[in-house]
Amino acid sequence: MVDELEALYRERLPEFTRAAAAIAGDPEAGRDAVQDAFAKALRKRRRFRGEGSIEAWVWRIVVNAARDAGRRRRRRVAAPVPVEARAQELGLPLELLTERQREVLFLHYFADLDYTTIALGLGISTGTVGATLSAARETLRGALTKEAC
Amino acid sequence: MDAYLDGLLDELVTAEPREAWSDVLHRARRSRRRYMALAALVGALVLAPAAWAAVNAFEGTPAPQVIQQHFGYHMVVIDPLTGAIVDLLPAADASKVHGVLQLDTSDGPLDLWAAPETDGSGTCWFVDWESDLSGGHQIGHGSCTQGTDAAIAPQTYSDANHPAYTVLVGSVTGAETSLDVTLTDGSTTTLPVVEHLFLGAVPSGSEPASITGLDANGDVVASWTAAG
Repeated sequence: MVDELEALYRERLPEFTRAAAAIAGDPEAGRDAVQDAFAKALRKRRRFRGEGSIEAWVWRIVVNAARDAGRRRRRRVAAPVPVEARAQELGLPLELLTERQREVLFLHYFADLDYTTIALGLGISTGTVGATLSAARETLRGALTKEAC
Repeated sequence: MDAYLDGLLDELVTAEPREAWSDVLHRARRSRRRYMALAALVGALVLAPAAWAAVNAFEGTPAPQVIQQHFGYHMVVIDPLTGAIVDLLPAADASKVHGVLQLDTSDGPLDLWAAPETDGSGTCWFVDWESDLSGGHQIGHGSCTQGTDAAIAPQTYSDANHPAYTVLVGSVTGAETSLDVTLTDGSTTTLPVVEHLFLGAVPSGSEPASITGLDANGDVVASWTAAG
């Protein structure tokens, strides 16, 4: 199990880092969350019961760690977090999305996860993943179209 | 529009990964240590009062005069048949008699008092129920530590006024902070060690079969097994 976790870490670190940074809202907090999440996965590895893939189980830990890191960051610093500031610069209205819509979008886009892994990672159903992703895209599309007009 | 949206998302986060598996391992170990320290602290706060709930904050309590007098009585051991002095215990500094341990029993508080020997070589102790001090009952039981004592030196004492109990009392020479006691009936109990002395009130007729001395880290530092 330790070897599998290490292999997953080395193989998918860029995706973990980018998705965690997006969820946390801050690249440094995202990196830190990934490190903490893998450390936690190592400690709790005996609790993995084989329900779903190890990767999905680790994603769930990473998402939780990134969420916590983001909340801590927002409580500590009044200014917009780097990802939100960057979204404003780009004219990407992330603020229109719910937290779940953002997480599904980030996991799909930055980690290229399939619906099943996203569902396991977030603890929601596969159908909810599809619906949430469609809604998120629709919201952003609508806002960007309106802005373009 | 989708391509435009994808382009914006692509520019949203540029978090370069920094591969550091060794850091992951370090964090896992550090966290485990923190948990263990926390567990030890919680154990100390939760388990210790549970195990030693009967022990009151008694250490250092000044001794009443009657207790100081009892220390005087225990300077000598007299043969009850001949009346002769058969042993002369070290002299205790009666002015320094103080409480060490107190147990709550169904017969009321059972106290262990101690005082340093005048030559500084050890400790004299005395145990009795508080209810006996003014009731004209037999005096309690006491002794003094000696340089030749075993690492764990238990004694049992029975008192006709307290038929439900056998008092288990004694001294240790090491860094024990608690003793795990197994009685001859197979039951076990944990006793605290204060100032190298311990005190327990076990069911009448019980005798210790074995005793394990544990230090503050829970490591075994000494053991004792009943002869025979």
